[in-house]
Formats: sequence, structure tokens, C-alpha cells
Amino acid sequence: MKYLTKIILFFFFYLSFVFNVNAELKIDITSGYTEPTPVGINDFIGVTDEEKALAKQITKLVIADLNNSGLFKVIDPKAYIQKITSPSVIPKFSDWRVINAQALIVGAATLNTNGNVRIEFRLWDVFAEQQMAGWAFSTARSNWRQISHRIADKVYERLTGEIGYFDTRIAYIAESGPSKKRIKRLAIMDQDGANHRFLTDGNNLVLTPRFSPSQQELTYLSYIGRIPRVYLLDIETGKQEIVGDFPGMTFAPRFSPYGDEVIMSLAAEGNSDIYTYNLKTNIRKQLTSYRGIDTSPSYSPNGKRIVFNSDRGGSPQIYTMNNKGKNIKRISFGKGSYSTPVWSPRGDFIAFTKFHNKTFYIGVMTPEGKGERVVAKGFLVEGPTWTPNGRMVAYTKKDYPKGKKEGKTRIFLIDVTGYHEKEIITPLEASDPSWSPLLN
Amino acid sequence: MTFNNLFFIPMKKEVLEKKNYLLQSLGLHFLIIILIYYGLPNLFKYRSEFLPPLPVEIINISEKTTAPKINFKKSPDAKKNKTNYVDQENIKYDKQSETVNEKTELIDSNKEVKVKKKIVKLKELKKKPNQLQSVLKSIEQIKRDFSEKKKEDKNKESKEKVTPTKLGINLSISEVDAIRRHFEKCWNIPSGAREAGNLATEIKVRFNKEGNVLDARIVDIGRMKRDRYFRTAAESALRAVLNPSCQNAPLPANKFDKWKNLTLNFDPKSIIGY
Repeated sequence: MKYLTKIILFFFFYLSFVFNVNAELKIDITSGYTEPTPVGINDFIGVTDEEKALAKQITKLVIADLNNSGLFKVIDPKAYIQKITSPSVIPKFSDWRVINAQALIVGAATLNTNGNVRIEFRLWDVFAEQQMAGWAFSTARSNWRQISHRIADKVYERLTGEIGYFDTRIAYIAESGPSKKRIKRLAIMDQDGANHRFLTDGNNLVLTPRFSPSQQELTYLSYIGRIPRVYLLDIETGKQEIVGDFPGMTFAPRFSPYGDEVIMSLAAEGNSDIYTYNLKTNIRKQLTSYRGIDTSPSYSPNGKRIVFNSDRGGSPQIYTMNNKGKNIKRISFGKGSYSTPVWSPRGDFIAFTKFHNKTFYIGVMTPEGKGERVVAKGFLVEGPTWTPNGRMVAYTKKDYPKGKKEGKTRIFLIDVTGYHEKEIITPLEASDPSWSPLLN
Repeated sequence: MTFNNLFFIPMKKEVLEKKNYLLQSLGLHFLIIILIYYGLPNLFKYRSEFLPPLPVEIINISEKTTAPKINFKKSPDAKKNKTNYVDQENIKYDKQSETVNEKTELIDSNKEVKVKKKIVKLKELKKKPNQLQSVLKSIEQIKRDFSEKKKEDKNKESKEKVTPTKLGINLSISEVDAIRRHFEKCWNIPSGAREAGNLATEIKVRFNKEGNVLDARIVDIGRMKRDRYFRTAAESALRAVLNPSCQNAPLPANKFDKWKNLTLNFDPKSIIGY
């Protein structure tokens, strides 16, 4: 026993010294840069002419998707040193390191005898010299666009950890004509700008389109008969109907997370309150009853809380309440007036518009009102909306360049930390974007 | 029966009879003190030395510690001091030698002119013995002061040149900061990532003597597998370390033992966290 005690003592002494001797220097890296990640995309490989043509289209679409995200920058193919001719070969990583490609995509398209197409790709980590992902999709040839978006989604997911959103659509207000006779039409397009079409003819003013999370439906505000009312539109059939026949004006609509309700403002006799309208039972419920303005309601992703805008504190500020209209809390306390709050699909942030000292800001804060951060500012920036994965905020921007009477109204995309700003290209001037839910 | 006997090691009667329980009790108490001080050793994690980040712009302290002290005291010998200071500058900063030499020449020539003037005055005063004696004394005093000052400065220089070798045991703050800046320029932060306040990633890096990365590995492999947000953050940190433009890190060769194994903690909290 005596020896055992000695051995134990010696062992612990030894350990304490060993750990001290092996103490390693630890250095904190707390800063870096925020540039789009450079990615190399080897042209998708095809053997026959038909396959080559299809492979070229797929490559083009994947490049466009990744570039449009703002998080990636596909390196100009002219700079590529290695030309990969088979998807089953390990790339020569040193050739890709030289051009600073941090990730590499290699893929191929093969047409089967039954008319289907098999599209496969591999994503490589160039610096670590490892395969990060590898997928093969088999489908009808006509689905090549969806598959291309799916490939971009997989790359995005693997490199960011977030769900990709390239196979989605954007509804927005297309604007044209002079400012005094502005024509505003409801329009929809794929997120990459393809399949663009108008949903309204422009005879009536339309505003604030919002996608349903579960159906191919939109709710929006229209001035049909010069009375602002909330409408519901089936995108596929074009069928349009009014949401509840309320006395007075209804505006600022938005779907509940399950798509069975619309939450909106109803204004009557100078007072505006928040209501919900159940699309199945046609039952409406009043949630707030303040004598001032309560507007711009938006549900949290789990549907338990609602964020809204109210002037009950003397100036427009942001408040949250539960889905019964109780437990109201003010969450914005900064200088200026706050409006158009939108709860992130991730649930971690609320985006808003702020006006202070003659400048507009787009900002985000936590649902508790902490960590307020401005992500964009300008002469006019407003109407934030989230990408389906909650990583980026899209918003309307209008600037007044020097020497010109008026600038263009455009839609921009920026991440929640205020980096990677990117314009969403639309055929006409655009405002009030709304993202569809993920289609896959 | 003592407390230790009851709760820690059941001892045989024979041992107690040998009356060595006092030694064992002392040993166990000492062990407890050691455990309280160091904590229980974690066999699965390296114990690492923690250095807090510096939020201010860092100047190169290593160079400062080697630089000679400058005497800014105003004295009758101010110009001489200035000459000495410039000479020391010449020793330290070779690249600036051209401009500094010019200054030195100018100052030296001024000095010569003044000494010449004094000698001329001396010759004029030869006819007046009393005045001459006092002037001679003053000149001798000036010469003596000048030579003493030179000796003192030389001694100071030699002492100051020894100092850096005394400081060269650990990496200095400026050297650590240089390493930090070196890797910061290669780290593409995962901006917009979820839970950015909780994505700090430790990378263990092994360097060769040229400052190139021989081997780098993510420490928390377990979290890599279960947390995709952490995985992407960790991979971005690993890419920063492996980035070809971040090889040849600015590491002092004489302290190779101190930096051949480093733990780099990439923490995006202060930039994109909340």
C-alpha cells in the first residue's frame, strides 16, 4: 500500500509537469476579410455534341447561381490551368491553388438511351485536397434547370452550412414610367431572373406582395376601385379574391407560418389595428386595440409570437406580442423611427427599416431587441425581406446619383452582417421583393 | 482513524502500526492541494497558454526594446547629444543612412565652424593674459565634457545592444501580433453564419523552420460531425492556415521551439457575432 501511494503521487506530479511543459502558445485570430469565396468550375463534361451542349448550359446556370448569391465568385475560366476531362479523376490541386480557387466543382452530363439525363458533380476542397461532396442526379432532360439549381444548392449548403435557395422564385413590384404616372405591376420570376412574367396589368396600384409558405399563392395590397384592400392570388390559375370583406382599408398583409391565416392591418376612423383572417374558416380575430397605428405584423417561424410596428410609445417603434395579442413588449430603443419589421425564417433576427437624421437604414436585431446592427443605408432603402434560409436580406434601394434628376429603384441582397451586397437583376425597375419558400 | 484513512485509501493495520500514516496523510493533502491548483488533468485536450487579443494598433516592441534611449534633456551640449543620437540612428537603421548622414555632416560642419570661431577668438585674446587663461580653461572644460559624454554614450550603446538577447526567451507581443495579422489576411470570415458568436475554431498547426505549415488539424472533430455550421466555420479557418499566400509566416528563427507548434483560435464573434 505504501508503494501504491507513492506511485499515485508520482503519477500526478508527473502529469502536472508534463502538461505544463507541453503548454502550447495559443493565438486568437479575431479578424479577417469578407470577400466572396473564389470557386473554380471546370466546364461540365459531355462526350457527344448533345451532351456537350447540355453540359454547357448547366455550367452557365451553376456559375450564375453562385455569383448571384454574393457569397461566391466564380473565377474566370480563362485563368484555369488544368482542363479536367473526366469527372472521376482527382484534380491537380496545385494548378487550382495557383489561381486561388478555394473550392473546385467538376461535373459531367450523360444522356441515357431512355431520354433521361444523368448529371453528376464533385466538390473539392482545393487547399485541404479533399472531396467535400459528390452527387449524381438522374431525371428527365427537361428538368435540367432544376438540377442545375440543385447542384448550386448542394455547393452552397456544403460551403456555408445553410440550405440553398436557388430553386426558388421572387415576387416583386415591377415599376415603369415617370414618377408622377408610375405604373406598378405585380411580377414573378425565378431567383436567377428566368421565367419572368407579370401577374397584374398595371391598371391598379399594387404593393407589398407576400408569398404563401405552403401554396403557390400571393397576398398583396391593391387599390382596385381606389380602395386599398388585401387580395389573394393563385399564381398558377391567376384567380384573384379579396381577403375578407372588412369595413375600411386593409393593408400590410402577411401569411402565417403554415399558410392558413393572413395577418394584416385594418384601418377605420383613423385607427389601425392588427387582425388575423383564417382562410379556411373565414373567421377574423382582432389582436390589438390601441387607438393609434398598429401595423406591419410578421409571425415568428414557430407562429407563437408576432412582431409589429406601433406608435403607441410616441413614435413608430417595433414591438412583439404573442399570437393572442398579449404580452406586448417594445424591442426597439435606438434613435429614429422604426418600421416594416420582418421575422427571419431562422428565427434569430428581425429585419427592419429605420429612419433617422434624413437617412434610411436597413437593420437587424434579435427578437429580444439586442444586437441592433445596420446592414445597409441610403437615400431610400426600405422593405426588407428574407431569403428562405434567413442568411440574406433583400431590400429596395433608390439612390439619387449626382447630375441626374432621379435614380433607379432596384432590389439588393445583403447578408445579415452587412457584407456581400449584390443586386438582383430585374428586367424593369423593381421594389418590394418577396421570396417563395423552398420548392424542393 | 484519520479522515484520509476513512475516505481515500483504506490502509492495512500493519501499515498504521508502522506509524507512517503521517507521511501518507501529508502526501494525500499535498495531492489534494495540487489537484485544486491545477485541476483534474484532461487527457483528451491539450492544455494551452492563453493570450488575450490586443484591441489597439501594435507597434513593433521588439525593435523598440533594441532601440537606444534618446536623451531629450536640454543642456549646453544639446547639439553634441543630437550628433550622437544621429550616429546611433545610423547604426540601427541602415536604410535611412543616406539622409541621416547628410544631417550628421551638416551638424558636424556647424560644430567645426563654431570650434574654429572659438580658436580665432582665442588667438585674438592672446594679448590679454587674464582673459586668455579663463578662456583656455573653458575650452579645456568643453573638450573634457565632450570626451566624457562620448564615453558614456558608447557604454550606453553597448549595454543597450545586449538587451535583446535577454528578452529573446518568449515570443514578444509584437511577434505574436505579427503572426495574428499574417493569418487574418487569409481568413475569409463566414459572415452571415448562424450562431456566429459560438463558432470559435481551434486549429493546431505545426510549422517548419521556414514558417511554412507542415500540418494543420481542427481540434474539435466531434463537433465538426454534428454541427454543420461549425463545420463550415472550421473549414474556413483551416483554409486560412493552408492558404498558399499565408505560408512563410513571420516567425523569429531563434525562437523556433516556441512557435513550431501553435494553436490558432479563429473566432468570428467580434466581427459577425451578436
